[in-house]
Amino acid sequence: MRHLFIAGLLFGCANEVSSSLEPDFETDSLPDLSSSRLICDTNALPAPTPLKRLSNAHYRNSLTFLFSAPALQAPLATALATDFTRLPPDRDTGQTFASMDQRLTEEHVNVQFDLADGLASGVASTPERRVALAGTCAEEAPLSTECVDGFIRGFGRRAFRRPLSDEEVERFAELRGDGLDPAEILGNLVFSFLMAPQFLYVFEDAGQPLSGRPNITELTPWELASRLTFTFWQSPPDDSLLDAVASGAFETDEGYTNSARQIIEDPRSTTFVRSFFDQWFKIPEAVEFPNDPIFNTVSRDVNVDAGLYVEMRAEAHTLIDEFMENDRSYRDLLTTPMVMTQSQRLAEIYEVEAWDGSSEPPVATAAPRPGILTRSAVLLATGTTNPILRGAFLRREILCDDLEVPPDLPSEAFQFPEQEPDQSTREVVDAKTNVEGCAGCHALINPLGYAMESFDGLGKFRTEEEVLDSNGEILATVPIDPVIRPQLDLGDTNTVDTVEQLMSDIAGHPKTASCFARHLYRYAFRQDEDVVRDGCSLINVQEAIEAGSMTDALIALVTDDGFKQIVLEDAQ
Amino acid sequence: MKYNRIHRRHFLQGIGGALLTVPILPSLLPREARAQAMNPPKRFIGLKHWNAPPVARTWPTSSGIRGDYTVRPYALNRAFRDGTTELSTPLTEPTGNRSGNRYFGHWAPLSDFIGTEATGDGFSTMFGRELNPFRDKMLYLRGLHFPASVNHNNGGWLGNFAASENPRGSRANATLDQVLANSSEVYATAPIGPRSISLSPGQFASIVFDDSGSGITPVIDPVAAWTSLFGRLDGGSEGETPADHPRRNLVNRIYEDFRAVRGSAQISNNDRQRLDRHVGFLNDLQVRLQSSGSVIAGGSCSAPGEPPARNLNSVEEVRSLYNDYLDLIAAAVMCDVTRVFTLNCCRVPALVNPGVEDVVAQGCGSCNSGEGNPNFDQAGRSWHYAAHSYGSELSDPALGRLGNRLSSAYEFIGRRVMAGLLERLDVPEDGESTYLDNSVVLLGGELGSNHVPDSVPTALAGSLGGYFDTGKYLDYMRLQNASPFVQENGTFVEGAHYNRLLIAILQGFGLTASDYETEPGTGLFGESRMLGRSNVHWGDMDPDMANRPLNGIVA
Repeated sequence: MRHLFIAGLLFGCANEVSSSLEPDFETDSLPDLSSSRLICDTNALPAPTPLKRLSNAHYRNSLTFLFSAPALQAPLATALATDFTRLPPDRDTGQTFASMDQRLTEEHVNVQFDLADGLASGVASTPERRVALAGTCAEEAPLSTECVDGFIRGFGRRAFRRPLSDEEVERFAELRGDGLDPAEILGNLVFSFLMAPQFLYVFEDAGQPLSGRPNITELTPWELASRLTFTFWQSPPDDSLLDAVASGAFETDEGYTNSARQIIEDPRSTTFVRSFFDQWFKIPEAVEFPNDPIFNTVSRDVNVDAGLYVEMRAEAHTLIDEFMENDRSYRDLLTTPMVMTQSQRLAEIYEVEAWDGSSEPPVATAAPRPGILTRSAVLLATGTTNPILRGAFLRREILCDDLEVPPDLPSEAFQFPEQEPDQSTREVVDAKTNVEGCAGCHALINPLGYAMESFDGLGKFRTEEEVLDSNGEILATVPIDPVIRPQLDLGDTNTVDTVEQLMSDIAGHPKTASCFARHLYRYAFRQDEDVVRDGCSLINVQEAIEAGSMTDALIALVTDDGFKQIVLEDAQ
Repeated sequence: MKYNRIHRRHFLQGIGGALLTVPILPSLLPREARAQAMNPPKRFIGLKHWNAPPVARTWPTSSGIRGDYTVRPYALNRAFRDGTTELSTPLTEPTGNRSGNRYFGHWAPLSDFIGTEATGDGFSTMFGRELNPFRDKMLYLRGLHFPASVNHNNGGWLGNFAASENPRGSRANATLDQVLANSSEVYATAPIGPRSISLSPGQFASIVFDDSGSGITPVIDPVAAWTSLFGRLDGGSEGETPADHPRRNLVNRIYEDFRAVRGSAQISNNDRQRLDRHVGFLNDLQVRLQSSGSVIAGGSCSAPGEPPARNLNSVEEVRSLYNDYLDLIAAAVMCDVTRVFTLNCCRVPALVNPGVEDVVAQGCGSCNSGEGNPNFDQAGRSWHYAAHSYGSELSDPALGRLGNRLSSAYEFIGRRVMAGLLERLDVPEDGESTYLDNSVVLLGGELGSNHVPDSVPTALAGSLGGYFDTGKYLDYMRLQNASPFVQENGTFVEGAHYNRLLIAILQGFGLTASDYETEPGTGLFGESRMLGRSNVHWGDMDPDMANRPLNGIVA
């Protein structure tokens, strides 16, 4: 749950206040943004991809897949409701996506054991469940050799996401033991599969090294299938995909591309949309609206309750879904005035008619609403209207400009400056940050946030800012000044007059497409990108996103050699 | 009788409920623990606080003291005094060496500081009278500094500075707790519980790090902590021979699987280390699944019943949560289930109007500075923001009140959490010593009152089996120099490298340099490359001493 912080400001700088509103670039140092530029060096060895454990989402969905039969739902539900909840959560470790959290603790292993132990006992406990696991042959006692081997091969392929070798089958078959009843045999087998490293980790070690480049290995079709489904479904390959791989569907480039497209266009890819964009845009799962005088004044015309944010988030999701499903471009997503909310109160915030859910969605005309980044769910992600935070979000997350936090912020950095009734937030922030030592970075950050001042704490468009006291009393009304010099390229002197123009400029800028590519890489590979070593692959995706739809970019990603290969830094 | 997993898992809960305790058979305790009945094991318990209280609420003040002390100089000009006590007895060993001139820390008996009403009649306001019973078993340390430019950080208190806000170039070494947890000096055999446990009141930030520099996910509620510590123990009954877990032998097969994948030519050495780490955890787990097979008469310990879930937004519930955690730690110490504990005190009650408007304050460094915390301040300003407001009483009374409110949060950590833990541990373990005597409790932080990692408030309790010379207040700062810089509520004056305290603790457990040093042959633990640079703002702590145990604290 995120607590909203509508009125407060955080300043990253503190010095004597200057009266100048123009930064003094001759005396101030400018940030170096060149380190974030993509470079394609065809001779560079792509960045290595270390062994990854299943993310918690992958793990949960893998268990759900393995025990999807109706007869197995009860023990699965028990396991997920008890032991699974003890699993240390994949959480923010300073990385963009939770699945990049690769921490492994003792508790992970303890929970894996308890889950495997509990499920093994539960799913093999009754004749009906054993049949659901291993087929009708499991009704007989003792279990036949064929029955056990058949279970090992079938369950093993689903657990390891590839066929087991004969040697592996033989090893698991040792668990048939002497004098064990069917429940014990099947339970021990399930336990052993669920504790095996081949299940808990995503191994990509079975391919052949490229000729002349021993550190680069081509993924096998089985490994590719896992990479695809874990990226787009958060799940392992299903039975039909495993069958398709077994039948050679991935053996040709055309076959692989067609299969990849089917995976991307499968309804299960909705999980990708949710997971990818929510984490990238930092859209919270839930928001707790404050109950204080300031917020009450800001929201006085809106019926605010917990459901409002649910509607805001649903509107953002629906819009993204629409653009994904209809092969629309990322550029359009950043500029579209189309509003897809059936919530009357959110429609009123956006100043549009509520959508009926079936006919052509309305378009914002009375008040600007350019693109996904101006929707309430995204605007609320920073928890505040603070133009520094909003500007930094656009700079870092949407443009991927590499702006670092100053090394040792002085105490005054966090002091809330006095705001006179006739001063706008822009003026206060400008006075605070437009000083030597601060102005360089803030000249890049603040203007983007100033343009976003066109939206209040709930995301309602405004041309005037109400200056409030701590009791929520309106002291004055001052005009919003949206005219800025965005400097999407360092030193660019162009200005924009409106938030629509800013969003249009951002949407069309190469850095924006590049930033999409970089986030997509992080999500798919579950690690940070190297803008040089992975530069060629990233540029391929960038070009795809510039030229086509978001789906085209996903296809470009998965058909790039970088996706289909693995690199070892220190292979033996 | 076959093992019944559900029965075993919930045995304690089912029999005892939340309020009762159940004896644990000594047969379930590690053999080594039983063998060490005459030589009690040593344990480490770390409590972490964030930011720091104001100077005058942290350190002994110049009133309420026995003996002849002066008021400590403060600020750029030594004519300013900060209201705390300047110590006069120099340590016998030098603390550092600046430009060829040795300087010495100073010390005084903690019992000299009897306190005043303003300090709650304790040697400092943070600790109050609640810590008085333990003064002779404590060390209070002033002037211990992290490397320059660390800023807010998660693992600095235990020697990992890589997760600071300025991690550039920092080493990603394991924190002290993890070095201990994986040392044969601490565990000759795998413990019956986890090797270490990191507890947190609902917040996920890692405050301890493994040897790859990865943060260790904390256990965030008492129920999960109970399960981790005691969930595998069988209450059993005297005379009964518990059975091994039926799948214990199957774990041997899992090792084979790991061995097979480890041998692949297509994985890297880093991948293999990752798999080895997994196998290490499996190995500990397998040991815990093994029954000793025989019951040794005499001796037992009591594990608490499973605690209830807590509402972390309720002041009363948060108070209870810390009691839950302290009960669990004390019980785990006494049952020798685990010997290494850390507790993140980043969510505690703070007093607006005691008993009337108490609130739950939360804050980990600057992590919530942007979001604010409506529970802590109506304007949404955070714990971090409050820590920046020290000394603002004159210019802005509201900020002053905010600082006072935050101070009450530290008082909870000192007077309730620290004191509560010591009270629970200071009970006889054998004929001569208490559990506290054989442990070391470290109260550490991330920053000083000056809002940089300079003179981080640090306290130890317990002598680690007589290793520490307790009952002292030590100040390592070089007070003959004027401070070059003042910020918030504190100065910058060179002192001692904090990691030397960690080296002392490590050596107190019997580890030698080769067990913990960050670079072979150096004897250093953690980051030390910033030492000796006189161009950094707080001076040039002597690099030649950085590999030595902190002077003045070892018996």
